[in-house]
Amino acid sequence: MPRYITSRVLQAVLVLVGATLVIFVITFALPGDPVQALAGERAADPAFAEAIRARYHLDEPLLQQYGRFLLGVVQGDLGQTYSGQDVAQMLGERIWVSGQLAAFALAFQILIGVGAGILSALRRNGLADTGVRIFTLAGLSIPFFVTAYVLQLVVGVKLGWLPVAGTEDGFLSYIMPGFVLGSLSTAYVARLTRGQLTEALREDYVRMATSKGLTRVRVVAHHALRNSLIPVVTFLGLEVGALLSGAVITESIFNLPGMGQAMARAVYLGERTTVVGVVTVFVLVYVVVNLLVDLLYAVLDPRIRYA
Amino acid sequence: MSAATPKGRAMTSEHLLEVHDLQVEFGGDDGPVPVLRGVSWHVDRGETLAILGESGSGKSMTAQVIMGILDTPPARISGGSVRWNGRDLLGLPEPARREVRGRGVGMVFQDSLSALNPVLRVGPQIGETLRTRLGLSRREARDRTVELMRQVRIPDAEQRYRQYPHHFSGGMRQRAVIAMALALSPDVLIADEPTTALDATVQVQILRLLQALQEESGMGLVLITHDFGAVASIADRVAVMYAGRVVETGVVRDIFRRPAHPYTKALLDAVPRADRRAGRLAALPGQPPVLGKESTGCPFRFRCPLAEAVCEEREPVLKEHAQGHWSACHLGKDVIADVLTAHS
Ligand SMILES: Nc1ncnc2c1ncn2[C@@H]1O[C@H](COP(=O)(O)OP(=O)(O)O)[C@@H](O)[C@H]1O
Ligand code: SF4
Ligand SMILES: [Mg+2]
Repeated sequence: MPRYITSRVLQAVLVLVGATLVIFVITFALPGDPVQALAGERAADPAFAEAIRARYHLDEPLLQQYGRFLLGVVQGDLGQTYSGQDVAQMLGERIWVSGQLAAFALAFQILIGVGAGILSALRRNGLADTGVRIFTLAGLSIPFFVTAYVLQLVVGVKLGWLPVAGTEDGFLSYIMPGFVLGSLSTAYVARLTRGQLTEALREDYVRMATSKGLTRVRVVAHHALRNSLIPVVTFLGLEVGALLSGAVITESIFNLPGMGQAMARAVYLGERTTVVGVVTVFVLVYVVVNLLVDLLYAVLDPRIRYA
Repeated sequence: MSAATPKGRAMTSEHLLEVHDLQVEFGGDDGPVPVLRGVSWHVDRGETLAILGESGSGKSMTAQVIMGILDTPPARISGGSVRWNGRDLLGLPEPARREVRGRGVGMVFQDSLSALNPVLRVGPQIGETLRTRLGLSRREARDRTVELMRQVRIPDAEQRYRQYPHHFSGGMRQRAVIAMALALSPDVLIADEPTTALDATVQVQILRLLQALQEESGMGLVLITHDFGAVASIADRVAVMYAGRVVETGVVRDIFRRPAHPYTKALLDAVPRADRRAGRLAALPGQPPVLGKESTGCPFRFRCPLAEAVCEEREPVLKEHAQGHWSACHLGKDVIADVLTAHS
């Protein structure tokens, strides 16, 4: 087990280095001169430009800049924006917003997705089953920003049940964006759960559990569900990646001051330090979540032993 | 499709478990396909009934109907009854049915690996019903479970209690499944080919175990098996199934000495004599019939060395050829005995 964790941490470091290097190169290749962007409409004063270049080490070769960046990451320093803001500190304030959004989205996926999947597996071709099928189709065919605008208009503006955008209303502010972000894969989670559970219900050990006189609820919850949820957990682990990238759009639509929104703005402004910083945090979160999912397997399925 | 039933006796006295004229069909593309076509047998307290028959003859299906774990649909129970201590189980609502499972009738599945939940520890799995149904405390259930594990001769039961199924060998797994089925001390235990997946020596051990457990508790034992050798040593009575029906039934000695159905005779001949331990049935020549609604006549006629014109016209019903010895063949018992002896 310690060996396994060590190798996984090493893997994580490699992924982190690889991903940030890629994003470093890409942002480097972005069109436009950041110094000029900073200066605005008028031509930048050469002395000023020189100072900026030196301050942000823009005159150094790419790899050297990258090395400097890595050194900073190890010390928890993600650099500064061109306007002099500390990126790590700025993201630290925003990560809370993104975290809440992701938590709501995941909660929707688990509650609605897994719940509907269970119902439709138990009553195949029943109401829940038909509902899931329609929902899946809708989920797959309607782009989620369309869902977002429709909900904003109907639930937010017309009915006034939920805030349209922003975070002024605390908890309530996250319901609609969380649902929109979660709806991306809720239908898929429902399908996956349904398929897995349907299969598990046919297993001999489930029939055995029934034949020893357990209630249906106990058979499903204690014997069938646990095995069926293993692939669902895997999916939800990978899904965190989709939630992070989905957050970029969702936070922009709902005007949530999270990391995704910072990312979208930074890309727009050519604000390289922020882009690289956000990606670094995303990759870190992703890698850590997947490590946790792997460890969760071992809890769900005792046949898996990491060595 | 009327019942071929040993009338009189079966109807007047109350058996511990009795299957009567059971009919099950599957919905096919061109109408329902019959799978059980009037299965009847019974078992009493302290008795072992062996059910023999080729794969696909409907043995497991019968067991599933008794346990109430048949998937309906696609299957449909179109007739017959299952009586336990005189109560018709098929008409019972689910909660009452559940009460009978495990306590009235327990079942051991064919494949012990897949009958144990791979993600749960063996001990708690065996003792699960002690807690959910008898309401024992965790500790009491544990003690009783370890006792059960000892009873089925699982060594180091205390340590084994905490292990997972994949730590168990095939034979040990089958013992665990037996312990699980016996947890609530059922009146009847149905063991569906309990030894098929095991090594020959382990097979013998498991059969001995079942026999010993049956003698200790006085329960009724229904042993579904391919193993003729096993039948000879531990069964009291035998029911031979072919194409969804019982074609011969009687006490084990009669069946072995004077088989009254050509199919039974063929099964007996297929047992290799030199090595009785490998007493698995060798394949009979020919295929089991594909059942459809068009079938008339004796379903065994295509493979029967004695088939006559009448065999094509009508399907024979079970008739009592001698005291307690029933067979479904148009030929009389003596004719069969004579001709078959001449054959072999
Ligand atoms: N889902 C199904 N659909 C149609 N026929 C089935 C299905 N399941 C089982 N059968 C048929 O039921 C018959 C009896 O099967 P089974 O009771 O398992 O036989 P046995 O246990 O004697 O080997 C077989 O001929 C099989 O083809
Ligand atoms: S009825 Fe005819 S075909 Fe069927 S077993 Fe008897 S002799 Fe053979
Ligand atoms: Mg079978």
